Amino acid sequence: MHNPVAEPRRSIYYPYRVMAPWLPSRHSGPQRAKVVVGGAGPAGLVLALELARHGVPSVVLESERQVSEGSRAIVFTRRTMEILQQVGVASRITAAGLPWCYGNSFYRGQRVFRMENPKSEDDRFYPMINLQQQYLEEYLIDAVTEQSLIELRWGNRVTGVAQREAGVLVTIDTPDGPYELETEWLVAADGARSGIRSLLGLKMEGQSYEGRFVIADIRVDLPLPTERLAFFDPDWNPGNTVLMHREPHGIWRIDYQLPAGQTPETALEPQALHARINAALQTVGYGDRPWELDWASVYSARTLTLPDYVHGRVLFTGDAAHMLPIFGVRGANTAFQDSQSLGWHLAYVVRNILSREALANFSRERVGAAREIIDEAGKSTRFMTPPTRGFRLLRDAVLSLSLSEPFVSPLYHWRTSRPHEYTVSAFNCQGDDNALFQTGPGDGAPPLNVRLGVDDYLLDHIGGAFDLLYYTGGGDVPASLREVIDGARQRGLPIRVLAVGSGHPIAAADVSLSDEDGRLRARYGMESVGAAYLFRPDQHICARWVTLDAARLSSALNHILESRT
Amino acid sequence: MIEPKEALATHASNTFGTQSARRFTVAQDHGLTLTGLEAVYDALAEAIDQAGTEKTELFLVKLALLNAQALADEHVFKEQLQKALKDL
Repeated sequence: MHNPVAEPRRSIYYPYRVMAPWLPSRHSGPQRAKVVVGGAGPAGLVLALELARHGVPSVVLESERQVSEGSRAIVFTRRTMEILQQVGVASRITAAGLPWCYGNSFYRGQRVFRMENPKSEDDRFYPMINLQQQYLEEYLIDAVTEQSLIELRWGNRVTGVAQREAGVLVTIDTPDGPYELETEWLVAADGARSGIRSLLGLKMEGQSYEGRFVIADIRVDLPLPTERLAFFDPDWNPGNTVLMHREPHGIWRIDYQLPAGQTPETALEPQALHARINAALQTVGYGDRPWELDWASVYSARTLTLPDYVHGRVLFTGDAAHMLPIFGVRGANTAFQDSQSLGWHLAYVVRNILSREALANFSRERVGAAREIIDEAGKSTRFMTPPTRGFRLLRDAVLSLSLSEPFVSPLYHWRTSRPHEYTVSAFNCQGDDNALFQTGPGDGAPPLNVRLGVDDYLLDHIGGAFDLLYYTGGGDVPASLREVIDGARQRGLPIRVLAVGSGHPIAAADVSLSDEDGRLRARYGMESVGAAYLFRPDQHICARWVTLDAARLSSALNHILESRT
Repeated sequence: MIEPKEALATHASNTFGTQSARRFTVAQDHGLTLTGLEAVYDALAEAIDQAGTEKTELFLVKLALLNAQALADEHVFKEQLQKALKDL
């Protein structure tokens, strides 16, 4: 019998709500689902919303009966916001969160590096926005509740997975005992300690680092801007690093590295915790401010991934697929990209628009992304928590040099999470003009946003289907292209046409973008009439042409559809 | 006991003595003059003493990074790492 905690978790700022568990005794008859998603964290919820958007129903199983304990992921990137916009929750996050553009690194009381990443006029969202994960999950759950294609079952824990040829038999434990659920596809979105991954006996590849960090959330009134603060080698924690982030509701996140040899248990003892939080506040010049603890936890840096995210009919997304260091906000922000990618790949397979080969492409793309992140995050981690004497000497030398030699300062900048370019994707067009473009996102790249007008951006109009952005120069979409598009639609491919360069609606276009000042064409390098971009349903580019004609469009769309069984 | 400058001169002749004359000339063109090398030798020794036992490593690593930046060539730097790792 699975008995999740029935009392609301304690928090000084977040009102936890306990949901009624889904009980098999109240639902007679055999249980079947197209897709079962194990885990209602950010990865699972975004996946379910993406699937629903593509018309695929799912059942989401959540072991607990309330949202996550503690603030956990608190920094969300612009790409995350663009993905969350696609599933309809970005505006709530914008309203509740604290956006920021700057980071500061200090050593011996001197600011030795300032990361500046100002918001571009062409972007709807700030480079970063801080919000506690409970709120993000709450907004996603609200969106899921409004979506008739998703059923969210609280208090349901996956305890067994049996792969069959045509599906998976999932055994689930609940507060009134176990039941079985048959599904065509099971997605493991059940986090870093994935129970589904354990049930399948899968091992991750990569490294675990020894450095451990305490995360503590406190309520304190600090008159400081929303900027990242990093303190290297402070007097009270020699050789180690301290990070501070502002969160909404008067909460500050303090992360500090444990001195070598200190165990997580002793680090979380109230006396030790209080002394170190006081010292951290002293470091920023506000040691006298009263504060209150909300939540504290310990984590260690790992750079691990499964080598494949597809195992028969079980698929992996988010932390269940990989464990990444949080330096550079790579946890949840990577999970959103995984789930956005898996969403359309899986939906198109379920709908038989694409063959199962598409899932292998999803895995290649996202394992590639994880490996790229691991490579980059490994650099940050080796700087933040040097794993050997040599790395510690180099780090200390850089700290010392940075006081007078600016050339080393960029080494302080742990590169933050950014979307992966799917340069080796099976969906990238081979015979297009990718190499001929002087500017704009190339094949496989994430999109560039463009401000089109007041509260109107390019990415508001793109996503959820294949989108052909075509520069008509004010004229019509040529009939020969329309024929090819109609043909692809008849073969089941969801594709829309966005005509650029006309102030008035164009009959054959789903959307008309006037682009009077030529800003969109300039940013995308669309120089002459007939220039075109093809976006995938996750907004990444898969083809672009200096001048598109029917034969080449037909070839590109056939390339996408040809993997169909 | 050999004086440092003598030791260096001996080492230099051993190293380059077996190489072709041309290589020796090239090395001389791009390297320090003997006077310059001697000055570096003394200055580095004195700076190591100034840094003190506990900070010697930190000092040398800082110096290596500064030199690498001045060298502006990661490949040459990596070659030098290999040369320095020999015969430790």
